[in-house]
Amino acid sequence: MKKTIRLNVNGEEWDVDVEPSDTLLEVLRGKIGIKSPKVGCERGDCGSCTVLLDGKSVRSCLVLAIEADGRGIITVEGLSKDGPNELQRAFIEHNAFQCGFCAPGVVLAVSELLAKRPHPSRDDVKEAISGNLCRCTGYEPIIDAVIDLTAKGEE
Amino acid sequence: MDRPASACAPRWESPATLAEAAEILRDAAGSARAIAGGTDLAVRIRRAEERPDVLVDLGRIENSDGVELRPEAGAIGRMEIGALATHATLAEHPLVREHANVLAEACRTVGAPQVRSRGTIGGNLANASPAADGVVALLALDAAVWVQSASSCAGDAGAVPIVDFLTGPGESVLRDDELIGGIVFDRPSPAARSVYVKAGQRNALAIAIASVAAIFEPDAGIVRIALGSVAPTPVRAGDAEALFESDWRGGADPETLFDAVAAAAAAASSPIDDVRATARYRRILTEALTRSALDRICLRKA
Repeated sequence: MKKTIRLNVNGEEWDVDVEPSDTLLEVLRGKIGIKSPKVGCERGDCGSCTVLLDGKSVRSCLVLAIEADGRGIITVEGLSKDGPNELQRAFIEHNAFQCGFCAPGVVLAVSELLAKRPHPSRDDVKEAISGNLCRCTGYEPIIDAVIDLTAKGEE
Repeated sequence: MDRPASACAPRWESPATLAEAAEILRDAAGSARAIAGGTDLAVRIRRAEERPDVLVDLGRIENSDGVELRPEAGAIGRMEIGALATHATLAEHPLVREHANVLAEACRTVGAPQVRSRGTIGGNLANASPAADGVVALLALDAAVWVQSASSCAGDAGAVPIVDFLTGPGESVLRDDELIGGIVFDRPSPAARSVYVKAGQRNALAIAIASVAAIFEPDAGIVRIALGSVAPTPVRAGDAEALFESDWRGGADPETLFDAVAAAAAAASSPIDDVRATARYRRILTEALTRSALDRICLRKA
């Protein structure tokens, strides 16, 4: 039984028809054409489908699109409308991703952290990205990128 | 994403109150499922393991996600937690951290931030996993569950103790037309110290291989110990608690007593071999985790 829902995605309003069982991940990728949330495990384990829902990071494979009706979603496309933002540039400088599959989710999880805590500790960063699996970097370059960026702001 | 059309096309209902939600469940006569955070149910629906005709969205219900301490309900005070409180909320809530630290710690070990921000304590209970971290803590707290049905308000018929609520892996006394309204427990004594210790394959994103929730009340000289992932439901280690109570005040050597209590806790487990670990390993873990919990809550200077 299809229902029309309204999503604000990266500042743009979208009216889309969804089945109640469609996940937010499917709707973002298949109906809106936002491809940065990746289809990884589809069971909430890997974090590669992370998006911000009303500012909170969630796994878009575990959220039904209809639950997001009337709410705001941010993906990395929304962070980098004018090219990579400073967090993304720090990732590039530190080689903080290799294959890149986890990167959108990691960037959003860190963005949520930095909105609450602009100068996090290494442990804060580890906790924030604890739900995002990366099989390339060993995580250290990711943490280095965040700490390097946020320590700069402190001076 | 290219994949077959959705395995089920349920009707979506978004009631404004728990009572309305219970009425929808009653009218659907077993073909509806309530969905809160969705962290378990969304996966089962996608895999067509569940094909409900109606999905009852609890996400738009207000005033059922709060935490309150009611001092008037007895000298000690009573904690009341709405079923829709998320793990993230309970992990950080000042009242929970101050009066029921074991629950805050347990909620902090669930999944990852993105799961904790969605998953609710009511869902954790309704799902009735033997490994449910929050439920192990609630069992140690002697919590009880308010059940809401279409014909009765939550709390009307009194609350169901968790020990009676859970009946097996994935099974509880909750009927198809009932919802969890909230959870209630007496606040442990102000001097109490509590801890949740969990062993999994890694620190984050791990389902417990074994876990222990323990509360020490120095004034009464008692501990409460609940075990997770080592029986068909979370279980209390009653013999271990009795042993502690009889010997702690008698001035027993703590090291010897803690060893004996930990062994008694392991004896209270009835684990199985599964993909995460063997039964034998779980028994050894239960003993070690209990020992570690006792060290941390009984010996720390007040």
